[in-house]
Amino acid sequence: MREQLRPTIVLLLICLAMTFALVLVNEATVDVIAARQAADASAKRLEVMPQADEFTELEPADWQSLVPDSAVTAAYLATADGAAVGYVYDVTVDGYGGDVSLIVAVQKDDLTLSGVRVLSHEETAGLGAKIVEPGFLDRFAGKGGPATVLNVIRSGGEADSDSIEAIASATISSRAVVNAANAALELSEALEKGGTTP
Amino acid sequence: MTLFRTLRNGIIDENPTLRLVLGTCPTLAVTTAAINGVGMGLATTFVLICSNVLISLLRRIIPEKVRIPAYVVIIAGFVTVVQLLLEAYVPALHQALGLYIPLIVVNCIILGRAEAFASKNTVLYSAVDGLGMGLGFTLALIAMSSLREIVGAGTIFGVAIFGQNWHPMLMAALPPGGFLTYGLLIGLMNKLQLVKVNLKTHPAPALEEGGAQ
Amino acid sequence: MELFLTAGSSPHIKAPDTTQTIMRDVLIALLPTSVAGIIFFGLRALMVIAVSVIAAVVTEFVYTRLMKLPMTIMDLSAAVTGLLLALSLSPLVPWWMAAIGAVFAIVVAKMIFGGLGQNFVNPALAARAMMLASWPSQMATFMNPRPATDLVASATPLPAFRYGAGEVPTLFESLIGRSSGSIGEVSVIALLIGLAWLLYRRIITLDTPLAYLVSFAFFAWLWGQDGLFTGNVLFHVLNGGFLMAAIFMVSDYTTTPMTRLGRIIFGAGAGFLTMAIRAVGGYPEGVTYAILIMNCCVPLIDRAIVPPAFGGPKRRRKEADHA
Repeated sequence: MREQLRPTIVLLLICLAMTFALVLVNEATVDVIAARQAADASAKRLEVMPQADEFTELEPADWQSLVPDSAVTAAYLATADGAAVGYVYDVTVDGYGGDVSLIVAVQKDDLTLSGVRVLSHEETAGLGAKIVEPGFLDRFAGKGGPATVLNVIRSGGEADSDSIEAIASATISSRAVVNAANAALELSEALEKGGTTP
Repeated sequence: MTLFRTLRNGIIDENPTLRLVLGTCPTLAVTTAAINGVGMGLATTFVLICSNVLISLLRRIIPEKVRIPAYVVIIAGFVTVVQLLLEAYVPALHQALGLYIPLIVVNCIILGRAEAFASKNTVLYSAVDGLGMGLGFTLALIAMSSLREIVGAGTIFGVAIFGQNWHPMLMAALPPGGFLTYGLLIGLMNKLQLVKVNLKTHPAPALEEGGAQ
Repeated sequence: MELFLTAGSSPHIKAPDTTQTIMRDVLIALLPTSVAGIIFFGLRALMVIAVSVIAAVVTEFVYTRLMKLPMTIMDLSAAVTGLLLALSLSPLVPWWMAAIGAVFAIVVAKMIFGGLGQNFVNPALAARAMMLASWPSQMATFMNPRPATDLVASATPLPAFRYGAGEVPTLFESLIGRSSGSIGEVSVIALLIGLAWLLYRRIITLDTPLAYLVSFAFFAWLWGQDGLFTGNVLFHVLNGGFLMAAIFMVSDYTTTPMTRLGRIIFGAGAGFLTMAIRAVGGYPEGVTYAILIMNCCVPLIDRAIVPPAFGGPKRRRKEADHA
């Protein structure tokens, strides 16, 4: 009987000891991790909307009805000294190799894009992966405006105020970023018209 | 076997990655940039030393029948500790290694050393074996990730080493480049070993068989 | 490779064919295509061809010297590999890319496995696949054939056809070589002259190329632009790298199955994969990957189809495989 019980008890004790050790480490790190994640997220939002000092998440129920099936997954109101200056969105769109997650910021006053950043993607290295480069993302700043839908033109073409020049040989990846920007522009306009914001 | 021999054994003669061909999953997956190789190697070394020491300490207590579950619990515990610490204090590395940190749990090297060495040897030797194997793994990862980063991105630890007109061979940083580089490194290691053996005019050793993880 | 065969007593039949004569005939067969490429793309094409061939031969020379192996560059196979690689490249690739490709083909795809006859994938195609993964944008930049004035072509026929960007050449233009693309795929007529030479000299048999063609044509017809069974077969056959692959790649001795039935399976599979990649895959052209994938299947095909041993028990159905 003792021979059969012993393995069970030893294994149980080892499990208990390891669990206890994990509890200690978790206690020590949980606040650091949470603080760092929050700081990361707001630092990224600040990058695309530098003039803001605070970001408040909008209730999904308030904006999801405005634009059904939007690619936007979270919306934030950016404020500076208490006054609303723009919107920042988490957007997920289909790329060439998989989902592309981005942060897109839109100015409140003239509904133009303030900035676009790619958080994660699975595009082809050397081609589609160039969507993360500032050289491409900077093409978005200032584009947009009321009732604008941006379109993609081939690499080498002349982009006007309503279009974005694609990355060479990576039109599909470029279009994904433009789609994300359009989703943000569409929702911003709906939010402004809907008047649900302070 | 002396302590030094034990250490050297892990780094060279039975290098887990290049001689035993263990832990190939992290080897292929994370070695796209040199810094990832260093991070993964050191994280694995830490887990390896800790688990070797603890398992060696408990080697007379852990019953034969439940030794594998016991090892897995101990290893998984240390891996989770590493993961939490990295996430809290080295978030950049945590993001780069991502999924592969939990995978240290199933890295054959760790369970293999627990079973083959720590469960039969004293604490001191087990610690040194863990250090040697860990360093062997780390050095192999650094060799591989440096090669892949230099060829595939034209940088080393993020510092550009070629001029502006150089177009790096992207493939080296992609999965096929991982397999190719790994194969070439193993071949090189075998070649060196054969040269060494021939110099001593010993008969050629049997090729080591190893499971892949 | 160990030799299992023992020579019987004389007399022996001695065939005049050696690796060197076979490879020389392949080089001759590639000559019209090379000349057409140089005529249409100018000195850049000549530069790519020269760099690739010289790099391949020099690499094999250095490798055999370093590894103390018998010198094999005189069998001309390295020159053939270098030429095939060059012909599958855009005339606009930088010279050093062509050189690295040729070194890769010889060292990684051929010599490491033991040299000619031991490589399991086509070295030229392996190098092209490596270059495609390494320098995707340079490998996808083509030029218009002369006398067009603009250097960089907007799109080669295949993407033009598939994505509707740029002009699709007429069949006549494809035939003589008025479309952009790799150096070797510009002129259909030049390729066919090469094929005629290979057949006249009995260097290749038509079984694999025909199986490849039939299967490819069927799937080209199946995966049409306007639904099933509407495809433009002639367009797909005459444009892109299909013909060059059908004549010079799938007929390779080393990397195709040993039995005729095996070769037909090989050709059919390659035809399916080529068209699958062209029609629904991520690249406009699928020849390279299709043949490489089938190269990897060759050992499986050879295991599945074992001809009866000579003098062993007869299995009627398999007798044709002796060919």
